[in-house]
Amino acid sequence: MIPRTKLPAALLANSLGLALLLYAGRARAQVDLSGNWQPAEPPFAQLIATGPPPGDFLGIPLNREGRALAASANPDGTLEELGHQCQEWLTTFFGGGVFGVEIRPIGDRLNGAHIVAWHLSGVTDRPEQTIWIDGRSPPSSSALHTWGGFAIGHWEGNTLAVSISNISDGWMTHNFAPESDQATVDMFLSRQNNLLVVTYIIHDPIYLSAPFIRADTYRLSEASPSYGIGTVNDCLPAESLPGLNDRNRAAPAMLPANNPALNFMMNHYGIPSQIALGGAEQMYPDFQRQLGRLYRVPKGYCVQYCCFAQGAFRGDQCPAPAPATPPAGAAASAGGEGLPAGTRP
Amino acid sequence: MNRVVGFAAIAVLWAASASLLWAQPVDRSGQSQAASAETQAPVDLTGYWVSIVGSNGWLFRMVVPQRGQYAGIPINGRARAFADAWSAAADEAAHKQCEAYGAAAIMQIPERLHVSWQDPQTLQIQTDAGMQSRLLRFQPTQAQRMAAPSRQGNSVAQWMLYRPGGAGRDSGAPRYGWLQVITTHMLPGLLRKNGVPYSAQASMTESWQYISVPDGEQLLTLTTTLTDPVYLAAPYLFNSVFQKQRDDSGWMPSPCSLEELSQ
Repeated sequence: MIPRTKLPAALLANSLGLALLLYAGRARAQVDLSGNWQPAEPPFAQLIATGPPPGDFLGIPLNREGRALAASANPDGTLEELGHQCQEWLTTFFGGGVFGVEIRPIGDRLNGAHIVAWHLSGVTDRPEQTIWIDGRSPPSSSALHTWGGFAIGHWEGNTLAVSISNISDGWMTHNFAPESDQATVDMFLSRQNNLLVVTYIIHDPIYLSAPFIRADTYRLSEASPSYGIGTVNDCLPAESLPGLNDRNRAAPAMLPANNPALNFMMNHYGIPSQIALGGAEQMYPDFQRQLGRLYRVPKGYCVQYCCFAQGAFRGDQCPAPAPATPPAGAAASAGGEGLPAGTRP
Repeated sequence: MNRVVGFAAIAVLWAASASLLWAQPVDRSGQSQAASAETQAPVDLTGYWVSIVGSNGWLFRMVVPQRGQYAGIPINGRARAFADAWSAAADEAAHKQCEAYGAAAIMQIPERLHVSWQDPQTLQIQTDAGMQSRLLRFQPTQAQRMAAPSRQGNSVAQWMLYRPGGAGRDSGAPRYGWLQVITTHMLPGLLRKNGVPYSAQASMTESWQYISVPDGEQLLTLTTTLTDPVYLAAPYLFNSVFQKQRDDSGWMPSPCSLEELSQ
């Protein structure tokens, strides 16, 4: 029995314990992002796994410098160059690929229930990333830049709002839309039941004339992740381009005037290359009127990705489409064709 | 005196504990039957919004994909046969252009939205493209639930609220959450203007996630999951992003059309 004089102290201790217990429970009760998250748009995931078509930068607000670099992209050889063979995709490439992302909480060293960060990992060539939610400040802009960058975040209801800085230069898309080391990213991870909606906004004062906005959705999966085969640290660069070891070695280059990738969108979709190279105005509906003056209905059709809806991965594996009467004023539909040269599997 | 301080401390701790108990996240709709959806709204969605057509799907949204281009939609053989045989000219002649502006497709079309409260329990979404109007009802009547199928269907909405730690229900602290909308009773329509169909048995679940970007921009990310036992082999999920406008700039009502920029 507690003496009467000790009663307040006992109550105080009990109350303190209860409050601590509930506080710890609250820490655990923040939205749980942990798990294996797989792309929830399987057909599109297959499509984007091979990357957008060569020369397709539609909807990306590239400025003049960005368009110039995009026009010089060499889809056949860029990743084979010695300096790029072991390069990871940037953190801004979060949504690009058939592979998902694994998210795990990082607990405080002293109180494991108190989450101080979320750790994101994925396929081999995607950088691991830690999103710190413990209130720390971002590093100086002159501090180390990495492919994953430095990420801090805070909760806004069901959404983890993340700011990423200190990102190395690289590419924001699979077909080499450029991104500078001055780019920053606002990323929002919103959990909605078993879906994770990731909205991200890339700001790049060097190559973009407006923020690049995109959203992807993932579904919580109980299956074991299909990724994680080695790490980029296992990569050993090797000379693989013919001619590089020759006496008169030439640096791989693709000048815009000689870049065959720039013809792809015109030849297959009737989109002129000056349009296909992107621009801020393309993000808005009003661009349809401008496009109408430049657009030419392509002569041939079915092209790339025609058979994804059937589950086949390559056009040349697709059955020949049934003959169909073309709509008035439109070109006749042709059969499928394989993925274009230079498209990465 | 010490006893008074002690009991005061206990009272403060119990009050704090109670607030922590109250602060557990909740995923449910209205806390009170008396509160309207408008007053419960964790965010203000009203105003004008414009589609952001980013790189993902640009080629299928800004120009009409030609016959046979069904990439990205998990159609079955029946849908493929329908689409292969479909004719835009025949639909135009039959004045069925608005089949491509039904609820299952309208949020993918490059457009502007005007969002307003028709009444405290009904959010109205008007589009300039195709001049459509969706009604998202938070407390539909039985008659509204059982209404005849329509182009925009019957949409039942629900705020999925999340209260931050320490915020009581009337604390005035910021509230967070997203909007979930389930739409049924749709007339058959087209998912793409090249003939990809959806049936009257289709149903659609949308989540509307409001995002406030540090630079002041406001975004709305819509995630739509469409199921259709007739024409889809698997649920079709797609995202649409809208950006808040300061005013009605660019608002240009235009009738339904199947002919724009066909490949």
